[in-house]
Amino acid sequence: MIDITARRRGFLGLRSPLLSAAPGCGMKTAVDTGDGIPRIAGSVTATQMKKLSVLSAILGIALLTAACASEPKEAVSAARAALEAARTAGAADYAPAALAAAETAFASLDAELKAQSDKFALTRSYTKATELAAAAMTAAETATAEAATGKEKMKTDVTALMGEVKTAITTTTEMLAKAPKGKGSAADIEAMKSDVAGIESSLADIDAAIAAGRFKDAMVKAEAAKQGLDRIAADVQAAMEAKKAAR
Amino acid sequence: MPRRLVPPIRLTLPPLRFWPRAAALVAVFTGALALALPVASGRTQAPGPRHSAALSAFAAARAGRVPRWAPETLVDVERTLQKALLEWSRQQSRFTLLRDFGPAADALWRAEQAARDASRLAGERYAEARLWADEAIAEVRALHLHGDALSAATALPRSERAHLLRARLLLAEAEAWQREGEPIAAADQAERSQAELVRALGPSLEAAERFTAAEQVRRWRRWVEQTRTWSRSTGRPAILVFKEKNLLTLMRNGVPVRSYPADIGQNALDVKRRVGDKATPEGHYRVVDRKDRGQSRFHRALLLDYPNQEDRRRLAAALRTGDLPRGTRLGGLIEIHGEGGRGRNWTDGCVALSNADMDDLFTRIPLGTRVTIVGGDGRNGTFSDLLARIEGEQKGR
Repeated sequence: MIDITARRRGFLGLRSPLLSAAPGCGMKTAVDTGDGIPRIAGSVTATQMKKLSVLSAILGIALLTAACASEPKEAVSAARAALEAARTAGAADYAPAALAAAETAFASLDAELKAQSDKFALTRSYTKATELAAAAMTAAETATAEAATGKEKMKTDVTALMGEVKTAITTTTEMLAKAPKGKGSAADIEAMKSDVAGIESSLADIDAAIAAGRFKDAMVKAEAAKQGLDRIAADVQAAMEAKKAAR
Repeated sequence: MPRRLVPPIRLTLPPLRFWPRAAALVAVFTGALALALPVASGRTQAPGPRHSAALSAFAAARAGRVPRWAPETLVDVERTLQKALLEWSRQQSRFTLLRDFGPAADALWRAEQAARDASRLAGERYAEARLWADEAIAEVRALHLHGDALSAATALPRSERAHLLRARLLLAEAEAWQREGEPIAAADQAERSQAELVRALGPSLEAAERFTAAEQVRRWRRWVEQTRTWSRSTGRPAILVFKEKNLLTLMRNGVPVRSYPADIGQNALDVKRRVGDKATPEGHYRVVDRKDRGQSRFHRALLLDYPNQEDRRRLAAALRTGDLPRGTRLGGLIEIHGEGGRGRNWTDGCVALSNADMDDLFTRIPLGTRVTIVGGDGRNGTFSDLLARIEGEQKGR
């Protein structure tokens, strides 16, 4: 046994049972492990420290990799729900371009998720997938917003057109009331009044279409009703002018 | 010893420690070359423009007409794009120098072409549908013109008029759908308009067929000839009224001397069978009264002897067979009068001329003048022309 000065302390304060309490408390003694390198009994060598550091680093990297390797399921589910909401909101009819952009974003997301899931677990990284899920979510929300805007605009337009139709019914009815009556014209006036009544009864279909959210359908019917009323008004006007000319 | 001209070459091998260093240098150089070549060849470069083009073509296909007009191609388009994007993602996630975007570029090109082909197919189908809808609308418009001509010439019964209004509204809807880019809805509405038009005009067109029926036309021509012969033989004036031509012709000595536009009864298709049916009678009549200004509500009037014996005989036959209900009356007061010239059929059965024409006729017609009223002569009349047009269109199809 070789005496070592008290300044050399064992790593982690390990005390070998070989250490004697006296003489000199705390004095460490070196042990010969057979490799020619003097060691303090119970201490860890530099090589062992280096190995421990490397192991710790590897473990840390593995943990970090594991953290990055988990699929962003919540983000993807939220994005898919947003896409479904866009479809329900009528984006296919009112915002087809925005919906197509959202579906394109989802195509990229699905491909990225599949590519990562095909890889060895420790080499996976879902960073890109998380970004793509966020982009897909934004695109789907944009489609929903544009669909709502488009729908609202169409509803406004068709409601305005319905107002014009109702005004045209009132105007045409008044014209018919003032139209010159005489032998022969009475029958024509009655026929036109019945035409106006027929168009007025078709307004119920238009209102039903608006209530059901079928705005395009309502718009087409309203345009047809307006056209019919304009024709009757033109006929009445022509008849009144012909009567005036005959006088 | 002779001197050597060439000194001996002594080969000496490098020391042993040289070889590992040399091998290491060669390995490093080869490795560097192996890593640089892929980069130099460009296969590690992501084909960004091709990726964007594939995504744009897909988005255009989804946003455009493909989902409506070529939905069966969408599955293939989406599958092709998925494969391409998967390859792209795989390469993106590899170590840079190990990437090879060649297959991904090819797959993206195929995906782009698939999307463009789908869009082209959808466009072709849409164009074809538009053409078909245009033809359907044009066909119904032509029928509507016939409907307009018929409804202008004769008053349609209330139920038929309601169908006519519905047909017009449906045609307007068809045209609106076509403007909205919905050719299938447009063609559907055009078809429904045609069905309503048939309901509106069918009964009237059936009634109009008598204007081209051979036996009826022969009878009318015979009446005209009888009147012409009578006028020639007696030297007296006679009047011919051609209902579907809206024409009153004055003859003297069997020769037409003047024709006047004439408005007839609102029910221009039928012959008068009872009071209130608003039809102008057909047959041989005579002027039995002349009403000058102040004596008629319609400027001037020539009263005819309707109903005559033939009219009574016809009513009796109809009552016997039950064609007309018991108690049906024939009515009367059928005149040729003024306040006409309106260009449409509006009277309750009388024949109306303009006041100026009535003034001219009134001076030429004494009491007892023969008046023959016929439907037509089988041609150049509102209904005979209409039926000829319809027949021609049907043959053309």
